[in-house]
Amino acid sequence: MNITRLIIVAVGGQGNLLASKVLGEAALISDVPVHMSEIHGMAQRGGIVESSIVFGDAESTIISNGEADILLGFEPSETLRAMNRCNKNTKVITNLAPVPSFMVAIGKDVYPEIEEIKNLIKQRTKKFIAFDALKLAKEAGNPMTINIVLLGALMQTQTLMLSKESVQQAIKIRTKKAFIDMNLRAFDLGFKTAEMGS
Amino acid sequence: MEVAAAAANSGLRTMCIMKHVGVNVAADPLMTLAYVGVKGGLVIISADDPFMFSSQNEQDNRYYGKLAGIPILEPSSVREAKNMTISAFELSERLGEPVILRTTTRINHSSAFVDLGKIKNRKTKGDFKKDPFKYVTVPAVSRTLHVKLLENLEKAEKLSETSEHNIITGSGSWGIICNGVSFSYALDAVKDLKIQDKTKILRIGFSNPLPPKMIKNFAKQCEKILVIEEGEPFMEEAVKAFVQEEKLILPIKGKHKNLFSRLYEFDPGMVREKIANYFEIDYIPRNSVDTEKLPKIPQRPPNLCSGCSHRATFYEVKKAAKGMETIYPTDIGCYTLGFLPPLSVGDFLICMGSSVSTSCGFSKATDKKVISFIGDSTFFHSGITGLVNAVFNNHNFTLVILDNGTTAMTGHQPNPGVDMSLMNFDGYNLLE
Repeated sequence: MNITRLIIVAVGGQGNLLASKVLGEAALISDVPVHMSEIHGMAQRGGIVESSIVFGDAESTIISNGEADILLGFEPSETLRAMNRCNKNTKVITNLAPVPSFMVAIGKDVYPEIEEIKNLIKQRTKKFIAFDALKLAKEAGNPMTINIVLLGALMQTQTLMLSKESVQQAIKIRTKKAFIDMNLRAFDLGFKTAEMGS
Repeated sequence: MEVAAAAANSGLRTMCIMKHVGVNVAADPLMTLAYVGVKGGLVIISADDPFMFSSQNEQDNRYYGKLAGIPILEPSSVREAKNMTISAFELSERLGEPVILRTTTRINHSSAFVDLGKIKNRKTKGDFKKDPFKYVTVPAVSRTLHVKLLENLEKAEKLSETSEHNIITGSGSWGIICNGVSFSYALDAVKDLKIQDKTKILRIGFSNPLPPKMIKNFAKQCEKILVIEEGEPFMEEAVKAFVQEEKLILPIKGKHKNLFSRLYEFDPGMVREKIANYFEIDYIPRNSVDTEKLPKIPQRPPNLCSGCSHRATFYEVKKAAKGMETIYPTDIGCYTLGFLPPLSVGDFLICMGSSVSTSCGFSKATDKKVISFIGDSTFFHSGITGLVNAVFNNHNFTLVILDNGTTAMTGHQPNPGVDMSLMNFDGYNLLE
């Protein structure tokens, strides 16, 4: 069995850990070996949350620089920051709606232009999908479904050894009952947007 | 640790969980508990934090096993962590000693599939049979207890020699000795480098006492050995000593400027590269894309939550202290973040409770105004004793106890300052 290494980067509160759990559940449903690891020490206080998910016959739970097969970014500047995890064949999927840190708010740092971020990533990778996932999440009914929108886009690329259906099934198992329909809608919106190649 | 010591000596299986630096606080009871021993199994889970993702140091707690003279088990995966916990209880009961299950961040912050067995019925009431000449550690008693501890350590060494947790895979003559997460990285690396037939890996899972015979036999079959362990050269130094006893001559390396560092955590790519270098294999590292020409990405340092009352407290304290020459000892909690500009209230921090006791020192050793901060849960944990002494000694400082009635940073765990009735829990008292 091949090995696929996925890194998800997000800002605290964007739902990275739930997204990772959904993928883990889908792997369990699909009988695919999986190892996951996350660092979320200061997530609640606006820090970065990073998950590594290794599918297939590997033992390691983390992913070294340059060794990610897919990078899924929930926040554009965080996707750019994680470019050192990518090689020239890495597929990158990113949300384009920014979550500026307080360093930007107090004028200590400057947030790069979204178009510039897009170009910088595009120049460095083979396959790149970028769209405003926040807009789609709102369309699905709640900005908090942004993580599931992005999972939809991820599944459209068919880079994981998991079926679309297994992830939809996992959403039903892993997300709160009251939000299942909304999450499935979010998943579809993400999937379709990635299909259009935006 | 004392609570666990009493429960285990009343015959109950007991578990005591803390991070690496927590064992420092619990070290006093632990050292002598090893002398006294246990009746019910006592497993201490110590989670080390190489790279200090959320800790003040990256000490290697395997040395606590050596220092106390008790066994250490170290899992390499999530699945093994679960299985080893069962094994640790059995080992503890067999030897009558506490056992440390030592993990690291990458075990604790990982998830994988685990098969659950049948859960045994819990035994929550035991009995304590008095035997002061075994349990009261006056010098005369401890002198005999230390003899017993050393005998137990010898038994533990025999168990380590045949332990299912010390595993050898492969039959080549390039030796790799590793532990914990390094085993996963080493397994992936030899596969990636296609050197499975050339290498032999000894994974140490029972790491104190180490198995001398097993390691000597392993070394005899190797032309050179690489020791892969995060943290200190705990195994490396022992392996070198064992090999010397056997009068073997072969290269053994681990911590070295061209190989592994004592600093931080390892990763799969780094372990692959070091293995390739040491055994002189052609290897092209997988290059990252060029990130040199990327613009500066805004930093995202953790920050006090929106609306957090600590911010206003810090601001008021700074206003009150305007014009004074100040030192702000701080403590462990969210409010440590007050050390960042523009608030900049945090000048000294070493451990939980140190805000209070270091204030005592600064107030004696300098003429500056000393103002320190501590949260309520840290205050109850280890700040309160320092304050008692400060009052007695008339130390001159202002202590600000940031009492928000909960343990906010780590997820609202109960502490003696929490009103548990607000969370619908019975059976607790309210401290007033």
